[in-house]
Amino acid sequence: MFPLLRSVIKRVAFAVPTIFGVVLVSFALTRLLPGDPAVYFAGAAPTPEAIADIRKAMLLDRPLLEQFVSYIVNLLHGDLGKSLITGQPVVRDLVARMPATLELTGLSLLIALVVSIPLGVIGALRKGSLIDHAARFFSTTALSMPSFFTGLLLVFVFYYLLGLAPAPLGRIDPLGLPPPVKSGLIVIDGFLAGDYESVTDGLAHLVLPSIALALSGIGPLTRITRGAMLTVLSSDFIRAARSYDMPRWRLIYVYAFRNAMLPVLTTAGFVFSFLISANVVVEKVFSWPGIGSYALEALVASDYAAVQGFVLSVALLYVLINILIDVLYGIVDVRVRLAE
Amino acid sequence: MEFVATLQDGLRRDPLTATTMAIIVIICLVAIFGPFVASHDPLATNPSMALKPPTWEHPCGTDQVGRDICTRIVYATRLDLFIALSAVGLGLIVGGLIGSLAGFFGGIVDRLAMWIVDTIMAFPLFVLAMGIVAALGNSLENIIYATAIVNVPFYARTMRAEMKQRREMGFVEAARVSGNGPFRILAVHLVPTALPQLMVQATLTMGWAMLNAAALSFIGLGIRPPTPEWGIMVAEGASFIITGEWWVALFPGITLVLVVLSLNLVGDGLRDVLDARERR
Repeated sequence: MFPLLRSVIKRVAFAVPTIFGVVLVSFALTRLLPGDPAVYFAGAAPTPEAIADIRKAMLLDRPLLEQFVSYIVNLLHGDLGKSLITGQPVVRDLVARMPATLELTGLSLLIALVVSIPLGVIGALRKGSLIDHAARFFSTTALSMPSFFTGLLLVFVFYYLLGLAPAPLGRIDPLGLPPPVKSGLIVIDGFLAGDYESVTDGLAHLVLPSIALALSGIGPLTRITRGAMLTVLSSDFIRAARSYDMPRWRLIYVYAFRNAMLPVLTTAGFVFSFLISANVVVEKVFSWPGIGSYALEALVASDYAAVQGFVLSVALLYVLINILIDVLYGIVDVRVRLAE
Repeated sequence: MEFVATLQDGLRRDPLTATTMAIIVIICLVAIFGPFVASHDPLATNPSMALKPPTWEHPCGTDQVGRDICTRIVYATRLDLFIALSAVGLGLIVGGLIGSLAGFFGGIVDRLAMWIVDTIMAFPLFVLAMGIVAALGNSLENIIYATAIVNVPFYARTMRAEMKQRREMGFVEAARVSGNGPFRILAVHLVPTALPQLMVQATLTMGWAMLNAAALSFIGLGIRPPTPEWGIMVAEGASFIITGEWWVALFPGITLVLVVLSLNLVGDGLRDVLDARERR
């Protein structure tokens, strides 16, 4: 347990300059606003008192360094400012809407992995075959489809033409009663409450947006899996295992596959950033009440504290996930563990 | 010249890349000459013709105010291509500069450059672009700047790797002992050798830049209606999808996908050609 803790501390220390950079950029974005930032943060129809209050709160009359320090202090207190639309602290709004986004992003990451890992492995095993070419073409096409367009296509086919999917209007049926909130994830809350109608309803609403989202991650994941599998299959230890007449399935699925999963793990982190980006437009298409549509509503209303709060917290979440993946990598890969 | 010969050879063996290159040439021609041959006015509304499905007169149908969608797609090609080209061009200059300085000089310059690159990469890139446009203001130039900024890391990393690999080579040493200063070596002897790699990277990111810019206008940033632009046109058609008027969103969306797919396939093809040359 002790070496694990040390490696976690080490990864976090590595991430400090990046986190500092992220906070610096986010600070710059709140001060870059054309004209007077205080006017912008006060919203569409500000009163002079509101502007004066905000100027004081943002320390706009003080030197830049002092403004930055107070910005960091506020961040450490979890203060991202107040949203104009909801009148609530931005952090509270984001936390309230986070489960919807996590539910969607998590399921789509799962779909992306379940589709692209077999595709990549088959592509590598039958390199140059028809299946390989088809898989490559599919993954390039998936990479070339904007998720807002895939989402609309899915809605047209499965809602309008076939009538299989519910209307793209949120997480549950507007007439249905959501299960009591425990985890915030409707499907899990439904199970906890024994309310299976909510479970199926929640799943039905989840399917289309998560497929639309997953498609944007399939391209890179399939490629990396295929490449990693090819590299591992041509390496010395596989050749040695082959010469010992090890059964083919064992060679491929136990030895080669396990080693090929390491680069895939790293890419999964990168794909998460893809998904969070695509999430914003997919949430718009499906009226999904997550943090992406929150940011868009804020954008329309010129609610800058909410927009920049969203940008910063999503970036911090992504940094955190990368740290987590690095730590996982250290646990999975014996070589990394021994090197430390 | 040797590169051009390799390219010709590679294309002959790879008909898919050749086809997609042809599509890109056609798209460029449409962007340049399309508006001169388009049959309708992209902004002329005609309420009596609103939301009509495709006919011979309107091959892609009409939108909610009776504008000809086909004409609007043609006009939008120029704008979308312009945004992607200028964003990638700008990103190439800045990213190439950062990357070559970092790779050639190393040390503190390298560390500073990589800190900048890592910081940009720490953001989900579309979200960063969104934040930049929100902060700088809602305009066409700012869409271009934002898209350029989120592309910088890719070019900077490519250029840095190329420079690092080459800076100890014989021809650099030769240039140095014959009295060339570091900046002259970099500009005259080193950077040109890395241009093919940079061009492949540019093609590969061009499609992505296009998707990024279209997504920004889809969520209502940058270009404003009634200007024809693919992202906006899909956004306008979005509300008609659930009532069955599919053509409003479908045709501009398909055009965008086709162009981006072509760019990606060409980028892949060019990379394969280049890799094959390096292996030889």
